[in-house]
Amino acid sequence: MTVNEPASTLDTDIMEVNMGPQHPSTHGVLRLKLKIDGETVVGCEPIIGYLHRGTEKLCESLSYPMVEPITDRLDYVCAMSENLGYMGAVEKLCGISVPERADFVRVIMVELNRIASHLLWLGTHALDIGAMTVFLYCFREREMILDLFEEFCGARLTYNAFRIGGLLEDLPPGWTGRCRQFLKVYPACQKEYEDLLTKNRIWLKRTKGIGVISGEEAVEIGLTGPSLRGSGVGYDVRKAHPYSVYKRFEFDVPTGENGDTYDRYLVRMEEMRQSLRIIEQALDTLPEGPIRAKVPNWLKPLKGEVYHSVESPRGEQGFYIVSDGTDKPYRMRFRGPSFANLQALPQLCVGHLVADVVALIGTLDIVLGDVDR
Amino acid sequence: MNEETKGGAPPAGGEGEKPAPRPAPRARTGGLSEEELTKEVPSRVVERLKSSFPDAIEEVTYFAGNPIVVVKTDRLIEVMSFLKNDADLYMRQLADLCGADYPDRPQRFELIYQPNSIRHGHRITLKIRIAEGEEAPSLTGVWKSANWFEREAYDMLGIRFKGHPNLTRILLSDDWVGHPLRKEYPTEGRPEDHMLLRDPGFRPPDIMTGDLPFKP
Repeated sequence: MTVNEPASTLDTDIMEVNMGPQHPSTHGVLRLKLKIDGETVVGCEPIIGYLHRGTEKLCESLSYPMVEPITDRLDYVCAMSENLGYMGAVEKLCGISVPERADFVRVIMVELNRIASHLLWLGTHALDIGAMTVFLYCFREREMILDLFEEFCGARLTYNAFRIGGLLEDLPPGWTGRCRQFLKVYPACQKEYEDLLTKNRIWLKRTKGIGVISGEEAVEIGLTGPSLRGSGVGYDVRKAHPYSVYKRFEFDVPTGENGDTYDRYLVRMEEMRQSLRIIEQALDTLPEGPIRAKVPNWLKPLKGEVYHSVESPRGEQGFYIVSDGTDKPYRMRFRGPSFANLQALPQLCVGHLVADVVALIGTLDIVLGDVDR
Repeated sequence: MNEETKGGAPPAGGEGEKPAPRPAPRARTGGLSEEELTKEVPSRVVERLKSSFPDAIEEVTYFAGNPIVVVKTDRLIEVMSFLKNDADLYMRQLADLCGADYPDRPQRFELIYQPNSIRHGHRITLKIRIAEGEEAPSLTGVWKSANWFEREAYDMLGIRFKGHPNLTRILLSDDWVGHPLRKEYPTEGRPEDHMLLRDPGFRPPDIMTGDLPFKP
């Protein structure tokens, strides 16, 4: 073999490379079996289950209120959404209506958590692609939100914040003022990230045209959330099947056009602004009143089954509960958006470079606690 | 806590032992009554299904405003393709698929599907019932997203799907014994995995020599 031989006549073998489970860019314990031809990915098989804790089985031996801390640990980056989804499912199962104030506080918390979750996503996604500064900026603002949460419920990650029928505690005195302070500070901060990224040439090169998926295909493969909306499908559970008090707030559902990594980035950035709008409206119209409906501590729903889903920062978070009339769920099913979204990864990866796989894992915004449950 | 609230705890049972039947249920929720919860709601999907497949539908119930339709197992693919492609329903997404285990019934497993129409906002819960050893039709030909969901149902409940391209375990390791979401599978794990907790005099085997009392 001579040095001057053209590359096309060289023998190339397809090589199988293992990525993860202990790889910083996989955002947890995800393992990928990549088939590569030179630098190009020709096949990808995600291997999951490293974080499987058997939560669905565990719930069958816990009473309904005792399940809530478990939901925190499914998608630990947006535990408020999980809490809200589970509470919504149980309240639907029992036909409990929640006091208005509790609903408003829940929405404020969930939307704050959406911003915090998107900030974590943005920071790590940018870090994976090589923009280190954004990571530090994002964590600076996320810290402010976590402080607000800590003040409200005492926890910074696994909140266990709501109760069936309402809330455990009302907002602490002065909390709304501090929340408004955050709303005032935050838009300028988001402009900083966008200044760093949106028109950055390296960022554009790394994200534009990477992982393109059409709207039709995205629906078919089960994508939900910003990953679906990046492909131009404006499906948002908050609008399509409104739960809690989302009907009362004005907000837009941003969608992308090209269905690539860059559009999904833009969608999430816009979503943060819409969340701010919702929080602002909720704070302005926050009603006074009780925070918890009269719900027995030992809850025994009727025989029946419900499916309830909420829009978590990652997509449609579904809860399917089968009740056999006792104090424990007969079957509890968590439909994790990350699980369904990760299924699209092989389709997105093929034809791209190995370095882009890192960007694609980031753009799907998976949380392994939610994938493996 | 009084006597009546204690009744719900499942008895501790070993492998293979059937759990004793739970006491008769009595709703205590502080919410809506049974009549209000199981009230029939108008649903376009159920109407269309009833008119197009009158013989495939076994049962229609309602709970909390959501119709639950049980269809015959051998007609599932037909019904699902109709739901997906009919312009009036256009349920292009399969939001969820899961199984449930009812060991006391002759048809032991239930598979629960949640097709979802993004265009029209329709939603429905669809079910099939299958006995142990029976194969369920795989929906991977209808929706790509059914692939992993069906693998999970196989992993957790041991339901086999006919026509699935890669029916292997997904969350548990390939050499796992048993299917955890079956009711006879003990929540705390298999007894041999907890020898130390069960028998204080138990000496753990020397792992280095491979002298294990169980197959991990």
